[in-house]
Amino acid sequence: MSRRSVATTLALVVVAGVVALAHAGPADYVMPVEKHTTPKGRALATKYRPQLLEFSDYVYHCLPYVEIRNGLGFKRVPKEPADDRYAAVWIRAEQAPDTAFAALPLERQASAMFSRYGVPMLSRLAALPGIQSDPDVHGFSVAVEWVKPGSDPNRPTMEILAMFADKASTRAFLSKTLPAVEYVKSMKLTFFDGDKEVGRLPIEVWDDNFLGSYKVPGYEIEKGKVCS
Amino acid sequence: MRSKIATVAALLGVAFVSGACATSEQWAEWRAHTTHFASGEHGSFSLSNNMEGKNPKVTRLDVENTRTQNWWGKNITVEPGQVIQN
Repeated sequence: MSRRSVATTLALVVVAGVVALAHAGPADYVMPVEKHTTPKGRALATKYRPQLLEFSDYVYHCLPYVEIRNGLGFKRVPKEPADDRYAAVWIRAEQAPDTAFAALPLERQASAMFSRYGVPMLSRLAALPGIQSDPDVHGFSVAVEWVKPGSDPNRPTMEILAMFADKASTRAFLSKTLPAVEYVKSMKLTFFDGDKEVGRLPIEVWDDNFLGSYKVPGYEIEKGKVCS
Repeated sequence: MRSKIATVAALLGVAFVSGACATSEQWAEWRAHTTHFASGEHGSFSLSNNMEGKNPKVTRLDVENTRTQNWWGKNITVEPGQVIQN
């Protein structure tokens, strides 16, 4: 191979890298099958890939202020030895600084974020075709992260609320046969403040139709995409 | 020839870095009009993707590019494995 060929190849590789970085699409937010650490996880990721892609496509096109983080897939509770797999999404909710939000106690902030973002994500996960009757799917997990109010804009501190819940209680909560307070009690819930694990927060859950009703001014959805 | 390859590689590196980062003016503009919306009662979205700032049209690609530029590994957070396990 000539040196010119080497230089050309190098250039193509770099350009391809730039293009790939600049144009992440819905498929990039689904965790690759091989990144699931057990055969059960990989089997679920393979089986439900079309549904996960559809989920990612919805978030990508219909909720541009929400970003899926760390891959949509079938995950586990940290440090738990059992291979119980949860249909899981981790999202970053992007929001401008808001004095009213910042003034709320931490539990209310977390409650507001979970009510606004967590519940709709949970609802959509639970509606994935085939999941509810699949014995290999133990439950659902949603992690919502946001920038801590008042943190350094040049190096923001992220706050994360992560929950895991089994399928039966989630189904009951979503169908309103289980009160929210009981559902919260039944779930594994952990809050993280920056690089510190805080633990459980006494959150409340209320109805919030923001995701279903808010339209981003000026946002032009890609042709052919429908949000519902 | 080796020096030419090095020069090409250096130029590509510069192009990569400048392509991945906004100009300082764009950064200032972006910071003044953060992309996102408030979580309080009144949502607002102010992604400013045109230099005039008039009647901005935002595509999903604009959002992705802005996001890529802004979140360049600078935040304080836990390791993903502490939150959820693959």
